[in-house]
Amino acid sequence: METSVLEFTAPELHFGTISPLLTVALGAVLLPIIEAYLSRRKSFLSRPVTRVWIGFMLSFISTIFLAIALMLTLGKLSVPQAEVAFNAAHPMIAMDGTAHFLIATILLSAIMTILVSGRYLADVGANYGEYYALVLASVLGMMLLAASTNMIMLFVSLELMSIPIYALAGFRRLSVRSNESAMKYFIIGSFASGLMLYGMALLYGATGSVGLAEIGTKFDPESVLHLLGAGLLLIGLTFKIAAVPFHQWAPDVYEGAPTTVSGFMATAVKVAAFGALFRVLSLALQPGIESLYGALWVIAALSMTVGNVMAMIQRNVKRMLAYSSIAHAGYLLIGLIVPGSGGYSAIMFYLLVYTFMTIGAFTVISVLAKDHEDKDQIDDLAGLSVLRPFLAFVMAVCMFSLAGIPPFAGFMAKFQLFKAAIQASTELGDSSLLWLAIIGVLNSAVSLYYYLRIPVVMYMRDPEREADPDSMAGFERLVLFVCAAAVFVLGIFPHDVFVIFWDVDVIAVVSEAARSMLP
Amino acid sequence: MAEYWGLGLFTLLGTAVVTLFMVLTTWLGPKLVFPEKQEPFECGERQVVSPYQRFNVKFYMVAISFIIFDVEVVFLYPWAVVFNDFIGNGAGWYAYISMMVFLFVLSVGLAYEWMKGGLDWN
Repeated sequence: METSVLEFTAPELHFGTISPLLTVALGAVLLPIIEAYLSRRKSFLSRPVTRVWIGFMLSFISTIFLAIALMLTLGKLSVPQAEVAFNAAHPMIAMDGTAHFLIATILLSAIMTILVSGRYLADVGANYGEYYALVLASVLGMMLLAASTNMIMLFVSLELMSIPIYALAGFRRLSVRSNESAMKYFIIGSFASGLMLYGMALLYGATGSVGLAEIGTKFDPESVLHLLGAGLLLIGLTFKIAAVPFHQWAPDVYEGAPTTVSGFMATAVKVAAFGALFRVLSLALQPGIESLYGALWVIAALSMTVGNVMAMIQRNVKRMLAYSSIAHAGYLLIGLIVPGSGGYSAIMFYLLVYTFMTIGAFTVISVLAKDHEDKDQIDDLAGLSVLRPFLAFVMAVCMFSLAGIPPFAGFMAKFQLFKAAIQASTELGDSSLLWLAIIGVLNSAVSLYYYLRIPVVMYMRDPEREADPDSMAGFERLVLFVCAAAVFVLGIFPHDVFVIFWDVDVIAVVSEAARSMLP
Repeated sequence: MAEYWGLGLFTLLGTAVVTLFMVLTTWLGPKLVFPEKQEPFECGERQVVSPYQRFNVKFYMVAISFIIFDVEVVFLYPWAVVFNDFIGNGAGWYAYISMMVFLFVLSVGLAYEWMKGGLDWN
């Protein structure tokens, strides 16, 4: 009898490199068991077990896991060069400065989401413990997606990110809106995954490899097959960041999903998908960037314009924020087609700022939810400055920052982005980037109309209803405070951010991180 | 031709066993005749029905459990087939621990389903 002889050497394992990933993975695996165990108990440590208590325990445990992962990631941020995770010759993931920065941003977004979820979920009657396990599983997918340098890892982590999010979008099981949101996101998302997989298959068929760097060495921008594969791959990723024309799902999904989940989707998913776009464009598609430049230019310009114009006519804050997130995807895409590391570092700073201001805005809306119902119409905010002054203040700060008004961080982020585009266009003598920056600036001006409408409604209109009892939990207060503070600090001292005992130059960190990714 | 006698014997035996069972069931088995049973593909349920009907959520739970075990087996078979080669390459522990991690994650899924009562039919 003959036996097949397999040539195989066990790769060296560097667990230190992937310790943040392992922490989150362990949390995602343990949480369902803890939840199932606690919910079977009548009492635990002579305390009666209630749904709210379980929710609190699980959010506490998952925050601990995420915080440990965040600490481990921040510790690596100062060592930006790529660390080998498993196999140096055919890397599945690259834990470099870019990956660490994006992972830290994703973890921040997840921690803030989890801290504000407990009371909101109890309030809308969806306080099921699976929420936290789903968030952690999705975060694991995002972390892998931001670091993946291989098409197979890219696809698997994209699905690991998306599938829990589909479930989270429908987490208010009894709400028709929430179910519609989950169904829509699932069907359109699967379709986009299918297109992306088709693109990957074409690229693999054309180049014979699945590693992004190897594809980059064989990519032929003259060949239709290569370009078709690249295009389909980019469609899958631009779908996830909700760029026009792949944006139609975003408003419906953000509106129907539980508000905390919408905030999570708008920030963390976008951060992870941009991480993947960085890798795909800088490694695999670099030789074809000139052919793809036009398409990306049009997508960026369309996303900014359509997002901002559509946001103007919304009456629902969550829908408005969805269109605003489409517009922000457009601004961010400008950085993606700026050659060199300048655009990438501007995007990373923008994503960090965007995370704080968007989570802040969605948290305000989630705090307002009352009696199993979201209070998410713009009219519901009338007179909020009298009813809940702190909420109105944070919302106003987030809106000013999203609009890009100095001294808030949104201005600094947009400034970095447009500066990178204009610098590159002067250096290359190519006016198309300059025009894109001009479209971006004009769009920022347009966006003032709908962003400023919210402070106007909150501060200049009389309240239409009685003051609610202030039911805000301490964690929500904390997150809102952190968001508002971060928006101020990142806007005024981006070179000198003082966090507890660190003194960080965020701009230097992102530019270092962006350089670490480029070959 | 001579080496094919086994095949001939197999065909004969197979036919004989099938015939035997069919004869025995017609002879011994109780006979309940109802329309669903007379359909060409008989499984006790009506096959041609409107797709827009409700069906019991328990079937869905069974399908989920099926996926847990199905995926497990799909990965375990090829792993078991080449496991000796892994040992030959000095990577036996690597292969063993990798698979055990996978099985651990799967068994967490099973334990969750069990604790949540997904395996109780009633």
